[in-house]
Amino acid sequence: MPDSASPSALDRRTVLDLAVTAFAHPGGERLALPAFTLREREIVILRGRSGSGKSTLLHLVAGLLALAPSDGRIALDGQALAGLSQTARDRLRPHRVGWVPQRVHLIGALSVLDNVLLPVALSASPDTPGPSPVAARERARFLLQDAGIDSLAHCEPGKLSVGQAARACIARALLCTPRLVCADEPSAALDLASTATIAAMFAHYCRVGGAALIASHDSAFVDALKLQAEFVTEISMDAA
Amino acid sequence: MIIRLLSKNILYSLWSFSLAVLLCSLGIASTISILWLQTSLEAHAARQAKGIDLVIGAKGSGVQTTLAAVYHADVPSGNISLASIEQLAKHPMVARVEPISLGDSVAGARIVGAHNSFIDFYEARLALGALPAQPMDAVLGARVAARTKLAIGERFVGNHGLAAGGEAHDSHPYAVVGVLAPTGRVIDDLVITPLASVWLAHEGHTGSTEPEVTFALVSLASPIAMATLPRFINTQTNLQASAPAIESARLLANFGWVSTIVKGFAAALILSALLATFAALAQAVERRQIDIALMRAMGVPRLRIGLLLVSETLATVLVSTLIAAAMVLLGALWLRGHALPGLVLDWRVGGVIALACVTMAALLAFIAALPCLWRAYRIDVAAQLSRA
Repeated sequence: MPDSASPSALDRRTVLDLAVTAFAHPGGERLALPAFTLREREIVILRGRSGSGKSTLLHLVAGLLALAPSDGRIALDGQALAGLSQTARDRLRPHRVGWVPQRVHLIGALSVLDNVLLPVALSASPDTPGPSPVAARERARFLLQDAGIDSLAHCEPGKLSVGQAARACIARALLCTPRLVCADEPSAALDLASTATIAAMFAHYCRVGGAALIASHDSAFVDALKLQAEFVTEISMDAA
Repeated sequence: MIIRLLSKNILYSLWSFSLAVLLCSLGIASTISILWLQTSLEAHAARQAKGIDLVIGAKGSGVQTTLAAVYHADVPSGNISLASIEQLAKHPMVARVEPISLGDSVAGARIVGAHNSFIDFYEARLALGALPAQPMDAVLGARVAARTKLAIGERFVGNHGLAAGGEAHDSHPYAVVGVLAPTGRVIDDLVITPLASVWLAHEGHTGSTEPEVTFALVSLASPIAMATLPRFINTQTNLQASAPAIESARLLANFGWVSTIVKGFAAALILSALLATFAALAQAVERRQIDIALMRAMGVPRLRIGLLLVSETLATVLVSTLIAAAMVLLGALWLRGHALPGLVLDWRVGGVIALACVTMAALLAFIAALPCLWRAYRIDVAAQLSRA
């Protein structure tokens, strides 16, 4: 658990406050989920066997799954998610949660740069207009540069290696500067060099004020995170 | 970005998009053409028969009499005496009678013997020259003048019969004295000359001692006359009275099945296009389930994803409409320039028909897209992302 009593923890604002007693998919068995708090500049790593509920917890936090108020409490950046409609949760997501999927996936019809820009281009609404197109483009170029794939910005995704595509996926998740980045096994199928690179991207994002909730059972990736990030906490889902 | 994503998605599935566009554009073009052509032909037929309530000719078929006298598209069944027509003109139910005499032609254009009032009857006016003042003077309809390049003062010889290759009446050449302005009516394709010209050209050919004409175009004094006069003429005289309005309607009714079959074919094309659009969209939704789930995970609202999918369907209709409009336009220009030169195409009516067809196609395309939209709307994002 993060050490919320340390002075540095008190200085950092809470991004995620989670206390879900249990959750069950329709027709599925009830999963016991841990309670914890995640603060700015912190990375929480969810570890556990397959089926222990890591992905379910990430989906609940990202608002992709509905949580009944009777099942517990999730507060994302101060906003309670339990009981919210799907539309309301959709509206919260773009600027509060960045999503990194387990398997690298970019939209084949768009260039790498357009893929990174997608969250801003398609999610903007009168309530959450997001950055201007110029600002978004600048940030996308910055993120691609940070990921070391700036030269591939106008390539088709099919021409990228798995590691390069994984970095593009993380850049896409970070475009709107979300309060929390959720990543589901982001280093799966990556070689050691790529694993180290994406760990550096997460660590860097958190050092500048972000926060990340990552499901992973890749020890090399977790070790790399521990080396580079300021605050890393591991939570075992098996123990929940 | 939506437009870029839309265009890239279309390029990504170019073959299925092209097939849907091909079928849809053919369906829309066929429907517009059929409806517009039918409307234009009906208006064209009505315009040719304007002011002609009855056609009086020799005993025979009513349809043939109408086709020969009003549309100049058939041969007459015989001649009638001018005296009988002059007698008919005195009938109180008759407002106006225009006797005409057919029999000869020049360069495929019919030479019509008639009084000069025949030109007024067709609301035509002179563009050049003067009206015929003596036998063998001739006034050319606008299209005849354009086609034959005959100028005022030039002479020409008529051929016997209404088809090319007939015996030439060398001894009785016609002199061009005037050219009519275009009217959009059948008179544009005729050569008008006094009745006496036809009698002179056929002197000794008819075997009749009294002057004859081929038809009389009759305007009635009142609508009530229509109910009684034709029956009176057909039963009490050796003349044939036929009403162009009735005969045209009968003729169109006889060929109504052709129109129905072609309309059915057009409907089948549009339905095939919609099925192709539906199949392409269903395939796209299946293929892009992960894309859609990811977009949802990024916070893209379901409505916006639905709009993206609908816009792909509407793009099919839009591109098809542009292609169909070009096809119809080229077809209309060809029809007016070559197949039916006198046909007046009402572009406003064509526009309204096109708009109605496109609206209907867009509506049907939207309805065809609904099952795919529902599927996209109901995608289980969490489940898709777990599989991703």
